[in-house]
Amino acid sequence: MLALQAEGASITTAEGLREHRIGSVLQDAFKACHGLQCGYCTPGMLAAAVGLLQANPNPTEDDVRQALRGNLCRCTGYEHILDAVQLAAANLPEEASA
Amino acid sequence: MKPETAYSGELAEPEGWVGKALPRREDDRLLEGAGRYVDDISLSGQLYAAFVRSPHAHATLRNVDCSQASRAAGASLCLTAEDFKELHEVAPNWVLPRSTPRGRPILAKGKVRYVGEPVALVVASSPALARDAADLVEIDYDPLPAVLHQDDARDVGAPLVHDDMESNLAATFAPGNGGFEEAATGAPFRTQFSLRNQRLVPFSIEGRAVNADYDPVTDRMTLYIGHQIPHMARRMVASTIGFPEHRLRVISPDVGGGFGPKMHVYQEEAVCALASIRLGRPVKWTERRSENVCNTTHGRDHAMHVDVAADLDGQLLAMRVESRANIGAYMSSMGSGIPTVNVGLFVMGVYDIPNVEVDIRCFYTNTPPVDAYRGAGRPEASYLIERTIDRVALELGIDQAEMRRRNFLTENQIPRRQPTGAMIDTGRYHHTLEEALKRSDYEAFRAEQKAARQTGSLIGIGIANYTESCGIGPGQVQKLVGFDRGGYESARVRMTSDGGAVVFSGSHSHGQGHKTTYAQIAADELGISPDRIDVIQGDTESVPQGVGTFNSRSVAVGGSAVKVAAGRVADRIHRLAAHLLQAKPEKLERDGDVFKAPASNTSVTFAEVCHAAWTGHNVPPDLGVGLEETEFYHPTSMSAPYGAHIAQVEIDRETGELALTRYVAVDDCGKVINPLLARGQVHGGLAQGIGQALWEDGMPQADGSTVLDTPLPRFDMLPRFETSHTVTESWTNPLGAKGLGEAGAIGAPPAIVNAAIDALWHLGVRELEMPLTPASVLDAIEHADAGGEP
Ligand code: FES
Repeated sequence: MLALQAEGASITTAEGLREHRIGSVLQDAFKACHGLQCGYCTPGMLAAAVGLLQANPNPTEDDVRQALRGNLCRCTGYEHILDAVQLAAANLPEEASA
Repeated sequence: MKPETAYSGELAEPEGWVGKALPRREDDRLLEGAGRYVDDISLSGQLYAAFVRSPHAHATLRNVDCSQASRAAGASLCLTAEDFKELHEVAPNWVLPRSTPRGRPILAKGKVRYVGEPVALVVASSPALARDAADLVEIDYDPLPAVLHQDDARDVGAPLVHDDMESNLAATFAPGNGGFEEAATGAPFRTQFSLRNQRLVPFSIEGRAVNADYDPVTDRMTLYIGHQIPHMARRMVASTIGFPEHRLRVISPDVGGGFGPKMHVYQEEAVCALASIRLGRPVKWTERRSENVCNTTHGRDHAMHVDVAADLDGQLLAMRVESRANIGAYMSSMGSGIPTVNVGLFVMGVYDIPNVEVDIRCFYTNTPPVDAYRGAGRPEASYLIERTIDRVALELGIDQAEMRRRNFLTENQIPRRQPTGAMIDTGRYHHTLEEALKRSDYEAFRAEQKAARQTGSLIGIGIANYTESCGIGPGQVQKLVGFDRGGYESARVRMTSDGGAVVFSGSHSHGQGHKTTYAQIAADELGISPDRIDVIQGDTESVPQGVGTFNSRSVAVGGSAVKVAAGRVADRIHRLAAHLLQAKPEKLERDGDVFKAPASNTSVTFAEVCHAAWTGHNVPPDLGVGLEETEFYHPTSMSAPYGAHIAQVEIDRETGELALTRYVAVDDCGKVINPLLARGQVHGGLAQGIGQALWEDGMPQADGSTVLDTPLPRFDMLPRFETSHTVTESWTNPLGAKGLGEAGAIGAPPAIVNAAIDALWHLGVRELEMPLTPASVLDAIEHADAGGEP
């Protein structure tokens, strides 16, 4: 989305994800799965993944691929990011993802 | 010497820290948005640069007028080539003996030679004002005929990119042992074909950036550059602008991907440094994406031809390779070496071919300069030989796996120097191939393919037994080929008085994870946990010297330096502990963090020994005060990692669309330091290799402009990868490591194109060109049908 479209909304960036239930589970999963190399694409990947898991707590591999396809990564080949998002989904407490 | 360890399949649980799949310690910061890349660094008094670039591929520069721009709102400086007494030039660092180097002028003078070449610089108080002011620079051009392709550039009468040369020929290289004609004439089988290794745009997600901070009070300069080789950046900027190296500091903070282009110095770094000197204030430039694709170096771009002779069993007898490389408008840093030495030496791959001749010619064209991109020459070489193996096999009706078995170098031929000059330290090619065949269910696939042919569906399988020579060195060899830099790497290991360690590494991560892997290596030597070890890199002021991160050399060479330095420190700690306990070193026992002298029943802790070394209160003269060691590790030979990659594809006969259905990679990089990170390296390389095979094409448009309108690999475009290792340790370094960073990018293109041709051969398709777009595949199918071949 464009910044203008966020008018009036509250914004969480990567700096605030530790405080975010889904975000912090994702951060741990990205680290466990080596879901980042240079780290440049990582804040965007995390944000897109938070959005996905909020809407869909049990995504299939294809769901993850589709939800994150707008974010380019030139380092990882995406597979470890895929693993990370699925691990985070598995680790999320039921109520957190509701 | 023979490899000492030979292991295949899943990696065994290691005893020490080396070999463990530790998650990375660099991740926390990056995950919390606290990564610090060059553009994140703003200094007091910060100014911003924008460049005016040529819209023409080739034109005479009539007049550059800065008068409007210098007066624009917020503008403080406008520079053109006329503002410098001498013509500063970014000179190439690798100048092949038979070559005609033409470096990049830091701002174009007299002529522009490619779209995107910087002509003027504007500095202003914000990035937006700098761009606005840049629009006011007025430039008169007289367009000239341009030449974009190497095969046009070599024509007699072609427009000359450099008027002072007689032709566009920039370099030639012809390795091999000769004897092709004698061996090929009258050979039972002979074939020849052409192939293209297309130009690619490396495209790190973070572009290049520089923040040049000259301090007029101290007459010192600090340059923040996201770079693969900070020490090389220092040397290149210093020599380009004539600033002394000892007063120039380069800091490379977090680097958002490199893949080759970030190991050079370009015009922008030099011009920003000169602007900062003139203004006495920091000047920052952050590349825009459109600038990245037209001024940051491209990769590959070879037009190749191979002529090969074999006997009827498929045994190769002789091969002749011709390649014409497009190196762009100027000779970039390694621009004469990558397409020649890095290709020519490796065209024989992992095979035994008695007679080989190679003839490589490099041409200047009106395109952005071409230089190293992940694999850097070896993808071109591997593509050529792996496609050749398949071509001969298919023409002779020999299974492609069997064709490889018949031509592999055998274990008792290795170590070996190939007739082209490539050094092979280890190789169990049969073993690695069989492992990959098993994992990809090769035989079952062949049966399935037979059945599929009955129903008309098109599936194919392709093999690539790539090799990537790594860890360039020793320096003497580099000298022979005109490569003016070292083959060593430095590491300094310094203990702190509380028993911790700091590793200073000359090699610098741009995503690889040196902070984790180097700590693992040092931890095993020192006998402490990696948590007590920090790794410092990317600052010329704290790191002794660095040759840097490229050529998959960081673990094999840089890691070996860490191992050797840490080993020497550990030895000193041991001897000092013995001295403190008044025991003989060999009688001393170590139990975790405690040294014990059983005879006197006394003990001292690891931290106490480190403390004692730094106080110097009780240190014997032969050990000396302090506790640090520096190693410049200089390998005696390169190593040659290799692997067997197998791709399976399915092609839609109606649309030409290709689906990559499976990808099996078995890599042999010797000792694996961290399997998790190793897998990440393979994945990243594969994505780029698959991108080359299927989608990417960086060739400029007809007007010379580089517009990236072919897709880059996205999340939903890649299959899951099936990766594993065979482990054949190298004897060329104390770690037994070889290298892995470029494996995927080298293996994937030939594996995939071989698979596609395997799927279509029975229709009469003989050749396909990368990228395998649906249109090109469909075209090949249709023309094959029309030609009525078998
Ligand atoms: S980790 Fe480097 S771009 Fe994704």
